[in-house]
Amino acid sequence: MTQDLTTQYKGQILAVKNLPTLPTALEEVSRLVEDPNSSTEQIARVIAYDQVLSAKVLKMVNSPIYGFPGRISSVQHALVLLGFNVIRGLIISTSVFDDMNKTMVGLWDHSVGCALACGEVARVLGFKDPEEYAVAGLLHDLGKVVTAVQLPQAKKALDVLVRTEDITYLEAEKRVLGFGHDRVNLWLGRHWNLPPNICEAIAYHHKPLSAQNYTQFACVVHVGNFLTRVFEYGNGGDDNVPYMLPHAMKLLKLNQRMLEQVLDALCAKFIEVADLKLG
Amino acid sequence: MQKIPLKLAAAGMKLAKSVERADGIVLVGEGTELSDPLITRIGQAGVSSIVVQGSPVDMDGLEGGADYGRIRGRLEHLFRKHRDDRFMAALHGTFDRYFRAKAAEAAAEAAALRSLEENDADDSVQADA
Repeated sequence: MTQDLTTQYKGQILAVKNLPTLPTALEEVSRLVEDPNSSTEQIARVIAYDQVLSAKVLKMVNSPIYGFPGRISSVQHALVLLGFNVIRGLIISTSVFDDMNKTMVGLWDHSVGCALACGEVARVLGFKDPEEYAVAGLLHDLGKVVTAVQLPQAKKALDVLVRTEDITYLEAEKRVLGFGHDRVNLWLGRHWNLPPNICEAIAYHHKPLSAQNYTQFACVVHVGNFLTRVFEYGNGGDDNVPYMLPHAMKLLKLNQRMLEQVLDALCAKFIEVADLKLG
Repeated sequence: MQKIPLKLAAAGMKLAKSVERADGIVLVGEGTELSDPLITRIGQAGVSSIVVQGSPVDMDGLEGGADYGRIRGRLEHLFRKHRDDRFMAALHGTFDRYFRAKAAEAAAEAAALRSLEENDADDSVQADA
């Protein structure tokens, strides 16, 4: 794979502003989040102005992924409970996936499952703000979606390769494009100025020990992705479990008893999120 | 030694491993013989499975066997590229045992529910008579 071709693909992928479903509210929300003088009320107003978007955000925050008792009925309340970063992640994921829901069947479900698994792992391990881990899980395969939208021909070649050679989607991406969705995640994370913990988690979920500052985040998404594949919840693009790094479990201090606690929670909750469809 | 769902525990079985709470505090020591009140107390502490001596429960004979058979096949398929890796093989075994116990637990629950319904039906027949 030549450097020129990689640069050309990168350019095409990062032309994400052209994605038809990306709401104009996202740009405004991103600007407000970075402005220290802006208030929760201002940000909530921008989101609430887009009725479809606010309905999507409220549907997600009221799902079992976050597990808040009682119903969250306003965007402002959701912002206070979950924080700007989580809400911004929800806007990006629901909007980008909207475009793909028909063509990449199962990837949204896989992402929702991974969000649930990451949140559960973080909760069982007693980590602060498990919802931040959940949103990293929701975004972990964003690179696959954006690549498929921006490079539809490459997507076809990837599917054929996975099917005919029985290789993983990641291996196929490296052969066809010269890079994997993990690298695309890094580009997108920087492009949308995502917070560094979420950016590292999605960019290093296949090699979490290479994450520089947020190894714990990357390890949780590594484990969450693995568990979602074991349960075969949704479809990540191939029918394999990815390799689980023993050091990731060791670093998280995730023992067998805790793992079983996570599995028990997932057995119950995967049924509950099954109807968390887009649209 | 056999790991079983607490729902399948019965008085007279002996613990092969101590029963611990989620925070690591030991509730019942290894070697203790189970009694009905003790099983109830273990359940009240939020513990859902225990390890007992011998193999007192025939998991394969339970009706959950069909479900478990399907899951076992899928796990074999999902882990197919990692057969030579010791860590992944151990993880495969962990999931296999977990889903097997889950299937047995579901089957035990279904059997208990069925026997309750049969008893109810018997009672109403006797009342009618």
